[in-house]
Amino acid sequence: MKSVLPILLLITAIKILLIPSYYSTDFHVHRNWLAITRHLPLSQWYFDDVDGGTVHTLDYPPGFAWFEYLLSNNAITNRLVEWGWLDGRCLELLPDDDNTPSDRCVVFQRCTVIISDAMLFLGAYLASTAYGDRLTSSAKEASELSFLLIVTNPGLIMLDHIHFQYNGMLLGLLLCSIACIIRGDAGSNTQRSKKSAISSQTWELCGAAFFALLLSMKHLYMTLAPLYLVYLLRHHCFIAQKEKSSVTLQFSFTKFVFLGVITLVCFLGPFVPFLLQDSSVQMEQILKRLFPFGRGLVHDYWAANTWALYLFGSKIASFVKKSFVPSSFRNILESYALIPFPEPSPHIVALCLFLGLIPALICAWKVASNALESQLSNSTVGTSAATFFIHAVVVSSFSAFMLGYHVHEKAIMTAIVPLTIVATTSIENARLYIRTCMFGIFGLFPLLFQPEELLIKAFLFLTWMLLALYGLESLLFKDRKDTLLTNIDMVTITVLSCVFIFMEIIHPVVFMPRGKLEFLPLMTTSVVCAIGLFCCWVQSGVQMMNCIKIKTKYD
Amino acid sequence: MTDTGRQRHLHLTILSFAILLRILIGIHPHSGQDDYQGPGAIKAGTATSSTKYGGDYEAQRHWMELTYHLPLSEWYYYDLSYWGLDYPPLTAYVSWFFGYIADTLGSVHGLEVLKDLVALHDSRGFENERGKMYMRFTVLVMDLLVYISAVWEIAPRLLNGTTDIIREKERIRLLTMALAQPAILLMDHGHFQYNTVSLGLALWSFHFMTMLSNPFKKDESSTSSLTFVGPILGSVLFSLALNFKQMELYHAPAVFAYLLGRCFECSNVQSTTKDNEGGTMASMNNRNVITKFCSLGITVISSFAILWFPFAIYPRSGTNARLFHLAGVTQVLKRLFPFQRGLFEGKVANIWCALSVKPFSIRRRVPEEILPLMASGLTLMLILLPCWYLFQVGKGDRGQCDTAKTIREKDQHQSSRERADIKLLLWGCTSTSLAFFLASFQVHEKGILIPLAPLSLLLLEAPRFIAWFSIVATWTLWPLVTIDRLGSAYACCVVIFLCLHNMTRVSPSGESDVFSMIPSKYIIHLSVVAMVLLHAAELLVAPPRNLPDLFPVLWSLVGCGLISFSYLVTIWVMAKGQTKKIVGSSSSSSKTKRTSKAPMIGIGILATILPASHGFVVSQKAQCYTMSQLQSSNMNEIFTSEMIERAREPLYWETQRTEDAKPILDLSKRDPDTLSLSEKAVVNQGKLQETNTVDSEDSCVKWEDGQIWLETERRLISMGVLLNETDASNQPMVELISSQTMIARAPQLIRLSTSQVIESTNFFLDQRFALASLIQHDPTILTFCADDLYYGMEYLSNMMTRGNETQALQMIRTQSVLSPQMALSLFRMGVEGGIDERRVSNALANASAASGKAVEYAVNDAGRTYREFKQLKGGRKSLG
Repeated sequence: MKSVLPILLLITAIKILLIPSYYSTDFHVHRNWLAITRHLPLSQWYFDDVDGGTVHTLDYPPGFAWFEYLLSNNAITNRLVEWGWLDGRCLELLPDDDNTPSDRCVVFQRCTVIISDAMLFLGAYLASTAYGDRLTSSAKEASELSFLLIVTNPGLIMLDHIHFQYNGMLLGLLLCSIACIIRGDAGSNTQRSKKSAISSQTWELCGAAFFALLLSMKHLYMTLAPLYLVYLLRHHCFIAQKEKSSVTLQFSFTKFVFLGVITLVCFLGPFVPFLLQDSSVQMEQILKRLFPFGRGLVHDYWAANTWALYLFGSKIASFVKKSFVPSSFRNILESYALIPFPEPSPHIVALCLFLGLIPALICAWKVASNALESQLSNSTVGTSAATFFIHAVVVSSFSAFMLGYHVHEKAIMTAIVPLTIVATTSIENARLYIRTCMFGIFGLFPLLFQPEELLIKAFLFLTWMLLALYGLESLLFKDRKDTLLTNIDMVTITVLSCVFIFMEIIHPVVFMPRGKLEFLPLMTTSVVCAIGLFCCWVQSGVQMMNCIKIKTKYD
Repeated sequence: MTDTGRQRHLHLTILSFAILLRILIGIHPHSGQDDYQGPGAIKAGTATSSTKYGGDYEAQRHWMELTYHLPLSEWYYYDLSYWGLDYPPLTAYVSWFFGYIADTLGSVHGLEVLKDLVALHDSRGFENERGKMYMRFTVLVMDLLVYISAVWEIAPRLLNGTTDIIREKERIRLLTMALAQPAILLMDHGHFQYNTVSLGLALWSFHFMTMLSNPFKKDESSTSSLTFVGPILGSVLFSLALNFKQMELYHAPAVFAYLLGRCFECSNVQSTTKDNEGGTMASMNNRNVITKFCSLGITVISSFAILWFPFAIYPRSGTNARLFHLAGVTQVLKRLFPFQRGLFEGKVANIWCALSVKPFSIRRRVPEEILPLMASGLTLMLILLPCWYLFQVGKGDRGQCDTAKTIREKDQHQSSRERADIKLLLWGCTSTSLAFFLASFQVHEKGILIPLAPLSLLLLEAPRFIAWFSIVATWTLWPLVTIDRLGSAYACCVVIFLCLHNMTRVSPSGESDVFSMIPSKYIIHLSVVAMVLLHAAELLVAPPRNLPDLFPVLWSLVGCGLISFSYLVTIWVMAKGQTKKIVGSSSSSSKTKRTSKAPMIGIGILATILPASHGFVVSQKAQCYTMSQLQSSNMNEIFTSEMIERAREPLYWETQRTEDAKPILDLSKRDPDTLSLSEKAVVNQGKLQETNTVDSEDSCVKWEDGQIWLETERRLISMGVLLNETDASNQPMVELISSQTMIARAPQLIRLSTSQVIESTNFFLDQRFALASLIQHDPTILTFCADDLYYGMEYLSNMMTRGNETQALQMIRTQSVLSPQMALSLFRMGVEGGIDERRVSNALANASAASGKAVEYAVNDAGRTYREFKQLKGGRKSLG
């Protein structure tokens, strides 16, 4: 990985170049959180809303609050304020109607994002090398490529460095945790000694700790918790034992306790100071902030998931009802209140989500048992539990994105980033990756809605897609003159470019002046992307299953 | 080059990345945004705002506004105090076009601001995010259409690699780096100007004017000999470039010299067949020169005329309407060349600015009127040398042109000449524009872009030098950059450029070029340290009160030094490029001897300019047939009469021996005025006499049917030097050439005796040179005699490393891996020099022997006389 440093410098330079670009209200959100953690006592953090003056209240778990505390209360920040480089107003509690930041303030906050991206670099490096070490052939190139594709992902650049968020850091933590789990799967590397098997247990504990930390910073990743729980419970807490001819798995209570303690310490650590204050009130308030169910089924922009399709179907049905169905039937339909479709309650959504996660969980249990057994029988296993785990993470985050309640577009990055690690292994995975990125990142376009960002987002996306195509093709096809793009992909590209032209050029010029169909471009984008992503979701599930199939075949 | 889908993806990635980079810089402030005039000038800015708002951005915007709304006759008169139009007509037309587009788009919903952007007079100082976006967009479009496309088109012509894989890598490197030039990006997309249009037009013109065949009839076989369409098209494009920005004049002398040379080049191959009609040919050639020159002149004048014509025919209202009047044209000229402005603007890194610093203070010592004269004189002096070289380049090599016999050879020769021409033209343009930048008056900081554009295309020739120069050029723009608040963009661009430089490296072992030379190495290190230190000092240290301009002055002083050094390097390269061409073209002329005695250190530089990529030998299956396979069936096809004719051509050492065989003191020439020793002996250039060859009489008969060569080939294959194609299963690690390629390139091998060839091959193997790659580049090295080779090594070590032979060997060994071409030219030089030296020493020995004999005779004579005299005396005594 000789070219790591130039890549990092290059991508950082591009991020710095993006400093003067547009930022969304999330910028004010995070600025406000800096102010809250800098000026208010701990007990006030989850209560303050500048006397009702701001909607940018703290609604991330305490881990993230501590991160903001670190940003606003450190020697460098204090020094910057002392020197007068950074105006004190940047870190003041300000009401929404008077919060225009100074240029220096923007630079300061952008820099915090750029610096916190070091976590992403670290995670990407660890995960890609951890996975690359397992592969025998062309491992170096493969891990280098997945590192490159993770750190240059335009979705993350658009979200973090234009829109303004800290996803890079969070996903970096997730990648660290995945890297540890990969290292922890000693099963596929039978040549490892007993000693390394012990350390593989430690790796898994580290992975659990990282994930718990991540969870305490952002509750979005809660949807991955069941997978981690099932996988680690089976893979970490059970010990394979040979009894006569059969292999049985014995539950090890000490290991379970160890795992549980470490996870809980990491997860609950950030909560402790709040619990010490006035536990019940604080906890109630935190939970209220974290899970605001009043916000509705879908986000403003309609993240491209199944609920977007559901709502779209509902819209179509009401349109059909209004214009085509004869009035006599219309009354009957209205009496059942089916059209427009009823909005599902949070409980039903949660149930759907849980059902969506179940296949991955069952597979995880099975794969983990297989891995333990093969570890003992010293049989060589084709695909490892680690590969499966990454696929399972992808499928779980995909399910969370497709079925979750009030999902934000950015949630798709949780699927895309881990998928990058396995994209370099096979042509099918690479195709799945390219398609997911195509739809997923295209679905982020509405976040940057101003014409000033039109060219930036288009060319970021284009450059990176071409780079990914070139990189994957030259890695997977070697000397063959072949391409990853199939005819279906060509159709998709055509459709997406039509949507893009419609959304960015035709609609603002033709429809906007007449005030007609204001939501049409957003709806088109999310419906097209939802259809595409739905296919990718299914395909990712198939890939996960294939992973097990290869495994059983070797057994 | 056929692009596979994958390569196309990579090319598109580069293109898309180049555009992205431009867009990203575009979101940074432009010159004079919010009327900001630099950190120290906040108050001054508000003071000047009453007269002029903003900077170059406002000027360009203002020109759109005024050209769109005013009649053409008013363009160069309208309110000159507020950013009056002072660029040539093409800029004005382009401004009009964009003004028109802006006004048209203004009627579209959401873009109403564009109408305000170009509203007459009301728009002064108009600033708006969307307006800025439109302006940036115009630059981007022009850049894409003119500059990026030009780079894209020229890049494939500048590659040096031997295999497709390396060529592809080189192409990627060149495109990436040339399209990420920080200085150009910052000036056009940050500061806001349309430099890329004029630079791109100039590059396009270079592209066309170095074409020997008609650029529009690619498919036709080039038997129709050389046409002059390329230069004419090139001159039209160059006139356009000049008419976009008058600063393109910096390139003009180089272009003029080259095109003049092209006028004088040998026009027709057919003319050689009429050698006997020498007189008529000469007059024909003269006529040709005149026609060519006139056609060029007419093209340039007419393209200027078309662009300037409107200013002559549209009268200003108020003046009496005549059909044609020059007032409009002279007004344009007055606006373009404001001589009253002074020697230089601001603090520029050129000689005059450096000389006006305290100890010299040239402006106080020399009267104001003489300064422009001095400046022009010095500029003229500096551009003379590159122009002379370019004239030679344009003229081409008559001898070579004549000797090319077959169509294929001619094609090859033509394409290699086209490549050499465009490279040298780019070097030449760089050095003339550097000369202008250094020595002419009225130079602006942005003038550094003009040498940078052609130089950035030469990246593969001297990667480190050119990367270094790009950074230096950007660095000299720093004072301007701070005024525009582009500091972070500046840092990012430089970092991105360096990262790309590092990431796209063709061979991992590193590239050698001018900076491999030790003194230059110090210069690069020192200059980098100086540049970084100055940045740090400016950031941390406040300038003393009595020297407020300390840092800009330091900037211009250091910049001047570094740019002068770069100028010298370009001259050096051109000079070496010239000699290389001569060395390559013909042998045994007096020129060769002269160049072979050129300072050895110069050869070291030449070495570094040659691409290092040759060390990167990729195993690739050669698709030729060995002769042994074809021996029985198509022997005649290989040993064509043409081949035999070529094989008969004498080798260098053979001609020298022939020459030596002649009596040195040609006693038959009894002219007392000329001593034959000093006269150049007439070398038999024609067919070699059988008696002169090493082979005996009877073997001469044998070599023509290939017997000798068959034996030689067999031996060479067994030594692992030649490709064994009968046994293709075990591929060798390095690429070998087939015997057919070998004899095609060194036909004399089929004539030389097997033992001799094997002896020289053994020499190479003994010395552990990377023989395969050497032979791949030039198989003729095997034609030298082994003892000549040994002596050549000794000679080389004497000349270069003061007699340390192991060091010399080591050097050639390294070079043969890194850059076989260099090793070859070094080696050739040593061997040929050795031969020459031995000849001279032999001649001297003969001469001294002769003179010794003469002295002996004289002494004997004298002794005899003395004895006789003594005897006589004694006789007398005895008598007495």
